[in-house]
Amino acid sequence: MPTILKLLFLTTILGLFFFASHNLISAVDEENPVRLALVNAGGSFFDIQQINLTITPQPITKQVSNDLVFAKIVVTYDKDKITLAEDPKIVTANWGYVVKAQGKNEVESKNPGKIILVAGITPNQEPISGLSLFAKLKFKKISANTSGSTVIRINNSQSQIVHTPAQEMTRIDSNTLSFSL
Amino acid sequence: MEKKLISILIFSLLLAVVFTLLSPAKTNAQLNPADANSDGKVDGVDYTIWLIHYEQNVTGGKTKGDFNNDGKVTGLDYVIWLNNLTNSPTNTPTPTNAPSGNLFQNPGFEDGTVYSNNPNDLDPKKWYAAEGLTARGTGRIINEHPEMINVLCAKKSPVKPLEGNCLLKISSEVGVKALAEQSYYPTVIDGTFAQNLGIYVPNLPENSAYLQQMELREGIIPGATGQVIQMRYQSLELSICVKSNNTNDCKTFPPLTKNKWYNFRFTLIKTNETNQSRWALKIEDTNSGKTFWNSSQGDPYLFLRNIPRERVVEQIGTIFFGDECLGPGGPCDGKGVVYYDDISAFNPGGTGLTNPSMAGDANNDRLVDEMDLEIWKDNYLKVLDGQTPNPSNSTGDFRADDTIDGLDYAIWWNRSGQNVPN
Repeated sequence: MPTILKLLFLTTILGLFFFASHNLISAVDEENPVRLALVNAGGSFFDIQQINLTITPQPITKQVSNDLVFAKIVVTYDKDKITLAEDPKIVTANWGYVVKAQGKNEVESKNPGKIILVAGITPNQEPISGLSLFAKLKFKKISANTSGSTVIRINNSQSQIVHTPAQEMTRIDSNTLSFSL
Repeated sequence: MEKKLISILIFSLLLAVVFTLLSPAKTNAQLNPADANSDGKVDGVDYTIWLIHYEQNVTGGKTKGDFNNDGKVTGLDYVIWLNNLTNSPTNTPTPTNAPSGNLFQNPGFEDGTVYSNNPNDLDPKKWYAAEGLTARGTGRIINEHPEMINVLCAKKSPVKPLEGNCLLKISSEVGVKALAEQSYYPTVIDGTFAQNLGIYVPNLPENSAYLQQMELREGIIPGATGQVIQMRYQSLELSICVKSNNTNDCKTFPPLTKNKWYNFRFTLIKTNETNQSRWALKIEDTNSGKTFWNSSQGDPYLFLRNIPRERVVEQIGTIFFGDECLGPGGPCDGKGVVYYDDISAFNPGGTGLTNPSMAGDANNDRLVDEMDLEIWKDNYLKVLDGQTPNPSNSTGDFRADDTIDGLDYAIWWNRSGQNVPN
């Protein structure tokens, strides 16, 4: 075999090796699911009901890191049955930067009520590990129809939780609350 | 033939090695994926760029806060910024603690020692005749991404609301010291100081922990202990404190209303000429006529230290306002706004509209009015990409610079009430 071809062959093998090793590492790092938990798991919905929204990282297959540094949680609720009694509050003692905390009671809209909660830790703040209270939501019951209906839900597709190094955690459960009105 | 090919290959490799060695090495800062503004530092400026573009699809990569270059500005980019920030201790912005009473602890004011015999401090080149966004936790101004207009205007005539030249220093602090000796210096010494301050309460969630603070301090005097009148609002709650002789008298007032201007007038009247000056303070909301503070009706007086009369260059009259961020109320979002009342004196610069006479008329009804302001509010802080000039006007981007910010507001303000010619 000509020497030039040998060099080309060697280069190709080395390139493939580096490519494979890089992607292998990435695949391992992504195995770090996290569970979102709501402390109020259900029950009777009081006239005024406070929901403590917590984030609980629970690695399932491989513990890479539990250090949460950024979270965006989107909560939707049935605005025909409940309404926000006050604006949602992110627990700033745990989270430093409050990027956004919005709640809407969109009466005219056909869309469900939507709450957007976004926060990150500040520089030099300890990353959050274990169960962490993220936000407090206070709802008011405005309808007595139907019992056992689901009135509050976390929108997983729009939520994002990130740990450090910058990697998005995988959410594994449905995070649905059922309250009997 | 084979030897020739090998020679070419070896020569190419050598050439590549030589070029690599000779080409200037990129610094860590240049390579840093979180250095959005490429200033060699990863700091609050880069964070603000991320914040402005958060949840947007962008094409500019890290220059738009998309630090992982995936076309979306998300929490992943935030964490990349955070990691690079904390990994660069020399570039980490130091969070600003609540003022402890020493003016000089506030960043940006270190060179603020001002005396009447130091003409450099009257040199406007040290000031920014512009607007700026307070970087959260740093007390600095990010000129690249202007927020609302933080201006201070001073007038040479005494005992009148300050107006005229609008100056903004490269910090969140603005002092009226520049015109002190020409304006109210004798007035302060002899008895009365009055100032108007306008505050616009933005439409932010009540719990967004923003905080704005305005202070009238004892003055730029070495060793000043910082007796101040301090007015701050956070989460729509307004509090006014008078720190005097190591006491701190505070009053809290009912929540402010969002999307509303408040115009406060501060009046200080010197009530005696002893070594320890005593000043009667009155703070009024000139819109409602409500008085928040009135020393002559039972509220505390402001006492200043024993300062020789000849040194009382700016006994009272230093204003600080900004996003304190890490004060008692916790972190802020950097979006609070403090306006001086005479915004009309501020020159927002020209407009890039093809038809400049339309600037301010967002709804194209030939009148610059409150309707146009509502459009500006709806789009405030949005960044437009690829808009042609006149449609920019319809979104509140009256300067056609693709950013809807306080400069556009200033154009609206200056033109409000005017008819737009056909």
